Amino acid sequence: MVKLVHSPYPSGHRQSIVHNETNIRISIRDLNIWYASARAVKDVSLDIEKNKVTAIIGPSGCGKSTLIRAVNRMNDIIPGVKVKGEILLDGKNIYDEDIDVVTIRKMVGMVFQRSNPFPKSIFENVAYGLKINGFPGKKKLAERIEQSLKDAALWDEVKDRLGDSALDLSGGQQQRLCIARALAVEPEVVLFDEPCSALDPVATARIEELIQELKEKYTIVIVTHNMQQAARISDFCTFLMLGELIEFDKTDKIFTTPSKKVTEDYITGRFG
Amino acid sequence: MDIRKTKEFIGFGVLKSAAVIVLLALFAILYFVAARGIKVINWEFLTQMPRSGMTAGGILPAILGTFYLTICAICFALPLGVAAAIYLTEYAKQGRLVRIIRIGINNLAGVPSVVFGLFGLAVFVKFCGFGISILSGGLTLGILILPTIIRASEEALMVVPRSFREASLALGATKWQTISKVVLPNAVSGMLTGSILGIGRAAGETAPILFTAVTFYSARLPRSVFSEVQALPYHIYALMTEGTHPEAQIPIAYGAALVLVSLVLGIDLIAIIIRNRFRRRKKW
Amino acid sequence: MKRARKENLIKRLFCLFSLFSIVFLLGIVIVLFKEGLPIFKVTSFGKFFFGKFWYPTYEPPDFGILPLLLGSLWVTAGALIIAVPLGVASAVYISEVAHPKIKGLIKPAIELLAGVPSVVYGFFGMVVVAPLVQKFFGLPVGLNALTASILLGVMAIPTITSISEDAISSVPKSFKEASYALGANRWETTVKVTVPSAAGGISTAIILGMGRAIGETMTVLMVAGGAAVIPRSFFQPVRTMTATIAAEMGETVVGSEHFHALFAIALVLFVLTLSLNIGADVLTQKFRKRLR
Repeated sequence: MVKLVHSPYPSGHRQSIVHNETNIRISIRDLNIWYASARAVKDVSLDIEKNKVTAIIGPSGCGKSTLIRAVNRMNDIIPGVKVKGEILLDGKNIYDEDIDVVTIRKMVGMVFQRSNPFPKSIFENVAYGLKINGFPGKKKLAERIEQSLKDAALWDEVKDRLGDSALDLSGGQQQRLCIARALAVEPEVVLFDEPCSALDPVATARIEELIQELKEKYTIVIVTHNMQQAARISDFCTFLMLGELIEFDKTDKIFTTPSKKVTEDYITGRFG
Repeated sequence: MDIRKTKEFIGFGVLKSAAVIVLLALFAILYFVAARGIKVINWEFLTQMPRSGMTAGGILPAILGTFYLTICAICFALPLGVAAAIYLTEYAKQGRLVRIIRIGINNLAGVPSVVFGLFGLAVFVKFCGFGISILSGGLTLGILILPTIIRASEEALMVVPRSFREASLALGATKWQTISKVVLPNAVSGMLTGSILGIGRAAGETAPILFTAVTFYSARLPRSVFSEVQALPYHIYALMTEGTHPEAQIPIAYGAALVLVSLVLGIDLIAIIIRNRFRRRKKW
Repeated sequence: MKRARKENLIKRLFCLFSLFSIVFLLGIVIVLFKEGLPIFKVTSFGKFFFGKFWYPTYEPPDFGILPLLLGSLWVTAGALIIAVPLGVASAVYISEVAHPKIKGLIKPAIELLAGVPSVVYGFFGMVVVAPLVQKFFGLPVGLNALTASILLGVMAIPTITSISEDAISSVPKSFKEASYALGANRWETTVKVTVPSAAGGISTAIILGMGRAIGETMTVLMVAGGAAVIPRSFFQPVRTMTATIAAEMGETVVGSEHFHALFAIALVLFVLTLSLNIGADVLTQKFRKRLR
């Protein structure tokens, strides 16, 4: 069933978009985030659909990273950050008092801007998330690691050297290893915070391809400063500027007939 | 123009000679101690008890005593120091408590060593009733080196990149899992360096053990942590100031000084080398 | 929520451990006050601080620490006269002039200088420096304030050099570039821009070096000569507060007047070094703020 969803919030940030309501996994409601005293995210509301890729674009410093890091509460570890508003994950607000952050982070995986494998072996990197959760059984562990590496399209390249240091891999391989590591704990949502910004075009293409495959199983949110990338891989697209949500729609609509002038200016490369 | 150039030449020359003088001071000390000390050092000197009222024989009890005191100090200070560093770098938020703790650490580092000796005397020797013993001296030295260990451990923890912590937390690890499984293993070599420097400091100190642990002469080797001991630094001091036969004792003091200097500077040198290599090798 | 409770417990545990430094510092303060203050039952503040005679074992005893206090200040002043020019100049040399390879040699050497145990300095002073001083100045004894100052000066150099060097190398490159762009050469830039910009850090270094010298015990005990008289020249033997404590504590009866007097000296010493440390701390904060 397809239906028009109206944001309950008045003026300025009203968003309307075609969503299949039953498929909504994450609802961000009137989110505000402050760093010390500066407001980095202002009254943002948007819905993220299951098994789709939702991209967040905008000029640097627009609050995209801050917004995506709010979804698994990674902003918690930065001193002085204050969050107001709600993020509903399957209907439950992750900022509620009785929520255990650790559980949230297990359900919402994250891949960072710069690949950050631990200085351990390839195997131990992927096993890390499982081991800390007390994953039982050596054989099962190995199976799960193999599956995760396959899902991350890395298995064929590393299957003969799982014991090697992860730091010996190339940049693109390291990033796919980080993806495998995130997938191993079986999250429902995977957040990508500019995952290709440090990679060459070939490695970037592989990651993009991979993200396309991953949406079969996972809900994906990706922050990118690369508009072509957003156009290539996302189903929905959010345009953020100076912390405000300017436009949120289906990707092809945003890139063909944006409803706001600023969006058009940005997409056509007039600034940013 | 020429005057300016001449000025520069002379100025830099003066700076350079200052640095050379400082280096010469180090080499003079090392040279004199080594040149005369080496003459008395042999296997017997290192492995035998003193004889004939400290005018002959070896310095084994002093070497052992310094070893025991240092071990005791590090066993006490290392866990405390590492734990404090973990709190300060991983848990604490900037605020009044942290400021107070930092003031405590900074000022503890500046307390004169003889004052530590008095504290040890009043608290460990008398109040706790440990007497003049390895335990009292070791604990006193432990407090003395605590700031060194905290600072070195903090430095080691801070060089572990934040991205490691983020990666771990994002996988659903708890804070403690992140610290114990990711942060600590990557900080361990830096912490080691810090504790090695602490060991060097503890081994060389005299004033803190003066009234808490040492004795000039004991006929037996120490048997437990409650025994009083001989120690290398105090041995040198006592040979130079309390002896009755300087002509026989000064050579022994040279030997003991060479042993102490090689021990302490050897330890420091190892720490410095490890640290430099570690800094260079860091891959992340 | 069990997990959250466990995490909280761990955090508290670490917090507890981190409080030990404060506990020890407070412990030192308490011990010094408790054991030091009783001396003022037998002598007045005025007599203690301004009494010219320290005869703790006479009958009746004199507990005037003025000669000891001045002895400490005297050798410390002498040490600074030696250590400040050498230490600061070395720091400037290391950070502004020396080739990186030479720097890589000098810095560890200075760390080693800091690592030499004080008893070894004392020993070296007795067997090498004192005879030299005696011969050179034609003195009856070599164990005097000058010998002590020379050794304390060398001991304070590593503190002064390493902290000054940190301060000098953290002067922003842009300051220097501005000076070069105006046609100044390296020496002029160093003297007129770099060193003045690092003045705050260098002062901190000097204060901490002073703290190091004033608190030093074994060296002065061995080479300063040990006469508890008010110093009038660098060629006479003197006795410092630290040396007095170290020399006499072993021979006093616990709880006696003499015992309390030594703790009171330690209290004076502690307050002195604490003020120096706090002063250095305040300076550092100020310096940091200004550079920002």
